[in-house]
Amino acid sequence: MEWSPAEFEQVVKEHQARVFSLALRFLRDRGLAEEVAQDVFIRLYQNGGDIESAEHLHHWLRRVAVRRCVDAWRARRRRPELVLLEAPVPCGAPSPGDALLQTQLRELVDRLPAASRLVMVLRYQEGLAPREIARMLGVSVNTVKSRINRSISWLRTRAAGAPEVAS
Amino acid sequence: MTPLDDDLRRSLAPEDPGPEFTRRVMARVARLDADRRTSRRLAWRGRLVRGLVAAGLLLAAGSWVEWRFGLWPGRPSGGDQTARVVPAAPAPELAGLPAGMSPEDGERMKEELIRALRLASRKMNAARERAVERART
Repeated sequence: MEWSPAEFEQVVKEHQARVFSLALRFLRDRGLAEEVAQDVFIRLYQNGGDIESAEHLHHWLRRVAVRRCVDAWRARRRRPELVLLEAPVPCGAPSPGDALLQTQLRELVDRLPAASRLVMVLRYQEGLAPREIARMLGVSVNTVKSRINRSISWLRTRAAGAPEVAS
Repeated sequence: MTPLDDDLRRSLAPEDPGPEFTRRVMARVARLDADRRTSRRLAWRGRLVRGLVAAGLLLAAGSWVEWRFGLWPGRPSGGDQTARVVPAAPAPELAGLPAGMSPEDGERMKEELIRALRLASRKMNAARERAVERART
């Protein structure tokens, strides 16, 4: 599929929230997340001919975004002057509804170790099954399940103040 | 499905980076397209110039050989008649120098050939640089 500018703009608008949010939740740095998301779309533009269907596009974007996020995270870890960015920062403005709880949960997810954070984002933002996450990250299904369970237990204890979570 | 699952799903819902993000991506795409077009144009001109240089060198070498030896059948040589290669001679390059040619003549011819090739190459390089410069502007 060769993109015309108008078509490609439509594709970007349609998928930018998912790609950007995946990067933002994992990297916890808005600037870096935007850079990564832009790179993903530029790669898509360059490799447009390989995309065969809408579903393929969906999977392609997720796979490349995850790979690019892990690369960016590793590169940032190698730069000692940016280690401070590892400190937890809230990402995104709270939405209406259970705004406080959601903000608290986002902050708590931000504090998870990188590997668990990525698994949680893929599970709860992207809605992937543990088997799909395992295939994407190249780890066993049991590892994914154990990371999810450990993260959930940790979140339960930390967010115990919130009535919905405590139940 | 626990309430925490739902809460997590809600709190990790995708967040749109806004229209500015789309604008920045499209600006990068436009730059990419412009770069691609320029490099494609430069590549074509480079190929053309390389072809011209090769053809020029071949022509220069051929002209010199024709002038020096008159190898083209049926055409009289315009150069040194003593250096003419007799076509009927059996493999002159295997027997050594052509008849009537001294080693000094051979050296001189070699130098002339090298000088002719250098001149042609210099001119072709200058033409190529001008073409590349023009393509950039």
